[in-house]
Amino acid sequence: MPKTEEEKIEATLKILEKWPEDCPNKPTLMQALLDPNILHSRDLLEDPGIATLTSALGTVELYHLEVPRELLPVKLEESEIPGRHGDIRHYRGDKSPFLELKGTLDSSSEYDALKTTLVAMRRGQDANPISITVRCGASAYINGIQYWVDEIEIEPEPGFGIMWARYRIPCIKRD
Amino acid sequence: MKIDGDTIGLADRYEAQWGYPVAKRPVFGSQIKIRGTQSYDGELRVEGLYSTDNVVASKATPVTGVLPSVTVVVEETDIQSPTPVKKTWTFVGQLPSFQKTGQADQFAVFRMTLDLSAEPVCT
Repeated sequence: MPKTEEEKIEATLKILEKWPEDCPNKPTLMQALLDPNILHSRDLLEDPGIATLTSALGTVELYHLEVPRELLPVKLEESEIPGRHGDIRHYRGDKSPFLELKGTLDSSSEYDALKTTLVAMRRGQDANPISITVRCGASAYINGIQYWVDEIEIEPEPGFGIMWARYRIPCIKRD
Repeated sequence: MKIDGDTIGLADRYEAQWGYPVAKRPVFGSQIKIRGTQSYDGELRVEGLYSTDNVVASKATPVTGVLPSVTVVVEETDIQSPTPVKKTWTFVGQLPSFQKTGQADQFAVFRMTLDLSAEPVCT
């Protein structure tokens, strides 16, 4: 953990170097020093994205994640009661939690990371599980949990002079 | 002021604005939005006395289903020592709106709005 001011600046620079050069929303050093939370990195030791997907085959950072939606499904068995409307239910266990990562990308580098790196990671996810970390500010509340990555959607938006697209990455927790 | 080369002698006020709107998107866990520069938008609004030789209305009519591209040139002269400097602003766009008002015993007024298809050029 960086302690001195020099170490903090050095650690901040290292995180900033990981951001794609072509990302127009890449923080400046001054922004990062004034507001370290913009780096989504506790103690300046973590990855730079709001979410990080990593496996032995590569790492993808999501810098502009907007909605990390979770669904916690359940198996409820239904039983009907003769002579009554409505059902009674019995708890039969939890189903695998679902995580959907929705956000925006604003550079070709981020597009390539999803289209190439993440797809390659997905192709090899049987043998090389993909771990996902999602941070709220600098705090990782989903921390290195293994998920199956499902069908990735990338929807480019018109009216921007750069690569600008919405993405959706559905994931199902590995059990 | 000229519209496609025809002088509008009685135009007495214009207002132009143009720019690139900024799209702002909030991201998770942060109060700082990301920003994206969007597509160009602009318009030129002209108001003046209407006269019988006013040709603006004809520019607001589609030709074979399409509003024609219209060029409006505004000449301005500022006062600068030692000699006044003349600047010419050229606006290009389409004319989706033309307005004309009149009143008994008064003068008639026209207003037009040019939807700009490019940034104006100042020479």
